[in-house]
This record gives sequence, C-alpha cells and structure tokens, in this order.
Amino acid sequence: MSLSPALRPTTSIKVSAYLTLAIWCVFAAFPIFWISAMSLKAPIDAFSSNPFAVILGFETRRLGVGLSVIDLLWIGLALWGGWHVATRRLPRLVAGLAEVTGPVAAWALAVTGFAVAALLVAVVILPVLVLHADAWMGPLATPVMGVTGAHYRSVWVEFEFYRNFLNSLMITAGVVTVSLTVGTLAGFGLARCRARVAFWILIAALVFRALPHSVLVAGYLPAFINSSEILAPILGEAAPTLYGMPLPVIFVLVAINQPFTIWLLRSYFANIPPELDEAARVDGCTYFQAFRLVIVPVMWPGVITAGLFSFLLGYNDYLVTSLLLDAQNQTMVPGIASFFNRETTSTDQVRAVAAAVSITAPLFLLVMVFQKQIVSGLTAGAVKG
Amino acid sequence: MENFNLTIADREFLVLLGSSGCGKTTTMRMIAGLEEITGGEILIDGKRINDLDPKDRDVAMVFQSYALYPNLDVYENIRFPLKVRKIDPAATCPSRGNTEPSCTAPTRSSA
Amino acid sequence: MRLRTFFWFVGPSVALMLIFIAAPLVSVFVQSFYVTSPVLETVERETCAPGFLGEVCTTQTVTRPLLDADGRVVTETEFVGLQAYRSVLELDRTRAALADWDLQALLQIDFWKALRFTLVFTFVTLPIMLAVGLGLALAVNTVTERVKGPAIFLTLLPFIITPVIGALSIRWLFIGDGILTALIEWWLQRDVALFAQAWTIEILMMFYRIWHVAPFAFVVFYAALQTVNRDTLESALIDGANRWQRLRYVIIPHLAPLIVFLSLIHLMDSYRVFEEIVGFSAESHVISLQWITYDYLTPDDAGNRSISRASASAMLTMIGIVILLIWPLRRTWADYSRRET
Repeated sequence: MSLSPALRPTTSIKVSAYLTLAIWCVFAAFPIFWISAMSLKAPIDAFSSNPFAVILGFETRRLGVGLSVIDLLWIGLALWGGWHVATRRLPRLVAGLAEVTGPVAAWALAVTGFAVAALLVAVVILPVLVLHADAWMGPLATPVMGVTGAHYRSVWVEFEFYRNFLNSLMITAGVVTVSLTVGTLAGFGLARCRARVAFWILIAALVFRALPHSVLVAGYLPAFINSSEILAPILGEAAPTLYGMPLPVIFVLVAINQPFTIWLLRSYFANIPPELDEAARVDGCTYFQAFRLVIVPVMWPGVITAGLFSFLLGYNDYLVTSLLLDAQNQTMVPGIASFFNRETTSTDQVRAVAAAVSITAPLFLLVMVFQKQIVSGLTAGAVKG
Repeated sequence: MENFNLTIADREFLVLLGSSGCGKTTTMRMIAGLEEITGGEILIDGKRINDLDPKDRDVAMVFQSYALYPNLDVYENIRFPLKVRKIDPAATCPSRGNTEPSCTAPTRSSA
Repeated sequence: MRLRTFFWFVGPSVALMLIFIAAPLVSVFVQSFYVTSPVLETVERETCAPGFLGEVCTTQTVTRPLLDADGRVVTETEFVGLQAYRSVLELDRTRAALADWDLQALLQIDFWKALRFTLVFTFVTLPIMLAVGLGLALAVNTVTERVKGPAIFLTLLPFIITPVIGALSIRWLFIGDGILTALIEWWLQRDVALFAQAWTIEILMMFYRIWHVAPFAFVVFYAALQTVNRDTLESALIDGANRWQRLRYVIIPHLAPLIVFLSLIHLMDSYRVFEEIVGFSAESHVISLQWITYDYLTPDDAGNRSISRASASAMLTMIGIVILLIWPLRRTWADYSRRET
C-alpha cells in the first residue's frame, strides 16, 4: 500500500532524516571501528594522536606487514561476502535445514558454520592472500597501511585467552539452553492462565527484574563459599563447594534473566491463538502434549529473540562472573580486566584492545545473522509488554 | 451462565441460536471441557464428565477460526487426533497410497 | 488452565526465581544484621634473644586467629543490629554535614556520593535516550528500503556490545592524548584531561550509556511505528493537522505505552550503573550504588570480604529502587486490572 501523497515526507524532511541517520551511524560504528584499527597496530601508532597514524600505521608498516590497495580490496570483498552470506544466503539455508533438524538446531548449525568460516577466512585465507598475492600486481601492490597480528597472537596464545573463550562458550550455551527450556514452559503457562496467581508471578518477576545484581551476589557469596558445610546434612561427603564452579553460575544467570524471558515469551504466546492448543486438547492431547506437538513447532520466532537476549546476558555479564567464578573458570569479560588493569606498558594496552575486539567479534557476527529476528521478535513480543 | 438445562438425544442435530455474547460458544466450550464450570453437572451417556480433561471426553469441535495446525500439512492435520490417541490410521485407511477418495489427502492446502 | 497444570508449567521457572532471587534477598536481609569475623585468641609469647649477660627475654601479647583441629580459621557470627548500616552510611559524618548544611561534605561520603551520581545518571540519560531512540526510528522510517538494512545493522552494534567493552572503547578514544581528546584540544586550543575530574567522567559515562541504550529504544519505537493506524493519520490530515501535530497527537499517543515500558526498563537498568565505572576505571572519582556493594564483596588484600557491610549497602540500594518503582508499578497494576475486568 502506498502512502497518500500528503503523508509522504517532504524533501526537507527526507534530507534531515538521511543526515540524522548518517551522523548516528558514524557515532554508532566509530568506537568499534576505531578499536579494531587500534588492535592491529604497533603501540606507538595505536595511541598516536594523529588519526592517520592509527589508520595507516606508519610505524607498524616500518616494522612489519604492509597492506597494499589490492589487499584492502581483498578485505573489502571478504567483508561484503560475509554480509551477503549472512543476510541473504543464511536465512534460506536455515529454512532448508529446519525441515530436517528443526529450527533451533538449524540456526545453531548455521551460526556455528558461519562463525567457523569467518574465522577461517580472517585467520588463514586473508593472511595468505595478503602475503603472497602481491608479487604479480605491480604498482597496486605498494603497501599503504601497516598492520600486525602480534597482539592477537599474544593474547590468545601467550596469555591463553582461549581458555576464557571456552569458559564463556560453556556458560553462555548453558544459560541459553536452560533459560529457554524453563522460560518457554513458564511463558506458555502464564499466557494461558487467567487466575490471579499468574498476575502476581508477573509482578514479582518485574520487581525481581529491577534488583541490582550485586544485591543478589551479596546473598550468594557466603552461601556458595560455605556450601559444602551447608549442604553436608543433605548430600553428605559429596556436598560441593559451589563457589568458583560454572554450573551454579549458569543457574544464577538463568534466574536473573528469567523475569525478562517470561515477560517476553508470555506476550509472544498470548499472540498465538489459544484455539490452537484447545483444538489439540479436544483432539486428545494433555496440556503438555498440546504444548509439545502444536505450540512448540510455531513458537520459534519468539524463542529465538528470547534466546538472543539470554545469550547477551550470559556473554556480557561482568559482575556475577567476576565475583562467583575462580580464576580457572573465568570468562572473557572479567578476563579482560587482567589486561587493562595491568596497563604498565602501552603494549599491554594494545593487548587489552585486541582482547576487547576478540570479545566483540562473535557479537558482530551474531547481529549480522540475527538482525531481522531482533527487530521482528521485539515487534511481536516486548512491544505489547 | 446460570440456570441452563439441555438434553441432547443420540443422533440429534441441534442448533444453538442467540445474540452475540449470550453464551453459545461458552456452552460448547463447557461441553468440550475447555471452560471449567463452577456448578451443575455435564453428563455424556449418563456419565458425569465434569472433572474429565477434554481429551478424555471423546468430543470433537470445530473452532470459529478453524484452528488448523500451521506446522502440519492437510493429511497430518486430519490424522492428528488419531496420532495422539495412538490409533493406527491404517485401521481406517489401509494405506496412504489408497486411491479411494476418502483416503487420499492433498499434502498442501490451496487456501 | 487448571491451577495444577499451571504450576507444572511455571514450576521450574518460579523455583529458580525463588532459590536464586528471593532466597538471597532474605539472606542478605539477615546478613546485614550480623558480622562474621574470625575468633581471635590472645596468647603471650616469650621471645628470648641471646644478650650480653645471658638471654634477654621479652613477653609479648599477640592476637591471632584461632584455628580448629583441621587448621581452619574459626569464625563466629555475632548480631550487631544496625551497625553495618551505620558504617555504610557513615552516620556521624552525615549528621555533622547535615548540621552544617554542608552539601559538599555530605557528597564526600561514599554512600551519598554514589546515590547522587546514580540518580543524576538515571534521570539525565532517560529523556535523552527516549528522544534519540524516537528520532532514529522516525528517520529510519523515512529512508528507502535499501538504506534501512545497513542502518539497522550499524545501530544495533552499540546495543549488543558488552557493556564493559563498550565503555572501554569510548575510554580508549579519549584517554591520554586519545584521538578525540586530541580533537577537543585542537578545537579549544588548550590542554584537556578528561579523566582527571569527576564531571568530565560523568559526562562520558552518560554519553556511553545513551550510545548503548538508544538503539533498544529505536528498535522498540521503530517496530511500533509500523503499526500506527494509517486511517487515523489520514483523518488527522483531513482535519487539518500538520506534520508536527500528527506526530504530537497521533503518533506519540500510539507510542505512549512503549514510552512507559522503556522508561521502566531504563530506570531499572541505569539504576544499577556499574560497568561504566569498571570500564572507565573511575572509582577514585565517581562511584555508583551497585559499585559500593561490589567493592565490599571483592576480597581485600587479606582476602576478607565484608559481607555484612555489603549486605547493608545492598539493602539500601534495594530500598532506593523500590521507591523509584512504586509509581510505574502502580500504573502497570492499574493497566492490568483495567484490561482484566
């Protein structure tokens, strides 16, 4: 349906809209773009007050690798390809896969595949192209931009950041799985129950949502540290000390995220016509069967949005993980504190920058793949709060 | 809904008429067990079914908005009640490949 | 749905929230009245040193933690009433400051300092966040389809970025002679040190927070703009409303429930401002309520955590958010009751 002419924006409105958007986009992307540029430079360039030094890396070029115009084209091509695959190909691929494996497995597979491919391109294929494809390119091959991967190497290999990465992966995967399982059941129940209790649970959840996390951690800490003594009467010798272990942290994060999840999913389920599960119940299903056979197959758009928010909470958390996990099980975000708190030399700082970019990269891929779901999921769900 | 008495004989064809909001749908939903009743009794074949779940009442219902299962195709939609009650469709229709009109079903609806 | 079935569905979720949210609240409440400390014993220790005329012996009394048979420190828990609250609020200094009407002195005290910053932070960022989000949504709604995709992608980046990392990335732009500090210095023609005083750090933190949350407001507003009733818009047009009036009398009322929703979420989230302080390493200039509790919970050099004071400050923090939420919660309650009956 086209807009009536009088409702169409005038030229001046259009111009200001494009202008606002352009300014905002620069604002939104600049810090992330900038730290990515910094992380690839020698410290002297990275913290230079001359912007050209940060982008072009004069010192870095002198010390090591220089990128030519042709190399930059390769990189641009890789970025464009990634964008194209994520926004065009991947959704179709997932739709195909979903027929066989179900939507969640399909998305998980597709995202993992995409991430591995992106990593492969960034770490293996691009460097090879950059190092070897210059020879036959003549004048276009003169280096114009210096880069170095040294900081990434030292962060991931020397400082064993991959351990933190694996811990993050485990915690996040656990949070998303548990949170969705528990949350969808509760969201459905709340959407279909007209009793007063349902309302009170939602209000209580809203209040819980407001609690600062440090309040909760103040409650857990003593209990977790002494848990082996507290639980001893029940579990005997096997009573574990919960402090420092990943599993309790997963449950803590799930609980913290539960209020938001059940609100989101409740409003999503409320939009699925109740006739659907009522028909199933008349057809011979119990409530659980009706949920499993009829509701589960149609609930994925809402669940994927809820899953994304759970993912963000688990992945981005600093406060809970830094206080409740010991050094060995520490995740990436608190892990980075050990870099920027050191900050004695500028090399340490650039390492911190490289670690920060490493943490951001998976999120970047995630928005690429899921931007439609984030927008449409919020349209269907939280909006009607 | 108050003071409502209705007896339906076997094989009787009954039509409920009334202005909107007068409780036609509610009556049906109460019979099907989708709406809980606060007082009175519902009997089928002389058996009290007040506390039975819809699935145990052996009733069928067509909803105002058809309530088709969007994830299932036409055949599966029709077969669904048999499937959840673990009744072998083969007992009613020998095979899916049966050419009798009543046993072939399109897998995609044209709607 | 029967209540029994309902409880089977919500059971796991409610159980998780009871165990991991309600129970800790109770235990925090109780802990705030008790202090657990190692039991100290006083022993007399005689140390002798060989001296000129035979041994010189001195007797010292030392206090040391009592150990049990397994070599662990014995602790005792003691009811102290409101002592922890008193020490968090530093009541003596507070009273003195209040007696002198000395606001400066009052804001030197950690708790009040944190409370002031937390409230200012929350209420300054709230309207700006709403305005930026609405502006962006209107702008994206105006541009052509081809531009929308990339614009939404870039807009979502600040929203999903890890808060600590986001704060760090802003900090790296400004720290020392960082690129933007250099720009400001060139513009003002004078030396600028943005991390040397509280107010500049506070501005940067608010700037960061708006950068971080405006995209969420944008997404929510943008989604709602798609459902504005076109007939209403056109009838407003016929009634002679200009663009601004249509925005004011048709679109904004349509968005009103979302403005309440976003304000509520923002109130909750910015009241627990914390990651900015970590990211900016701002604790010597600016602190927030949640940071105070975090600080008490972090082990000190001797490895002790002041659980009691942490609990007291946690309770105080909580009272604050409850007061802030009373009004919006009553509204939600009224809305819900109206819808149900």
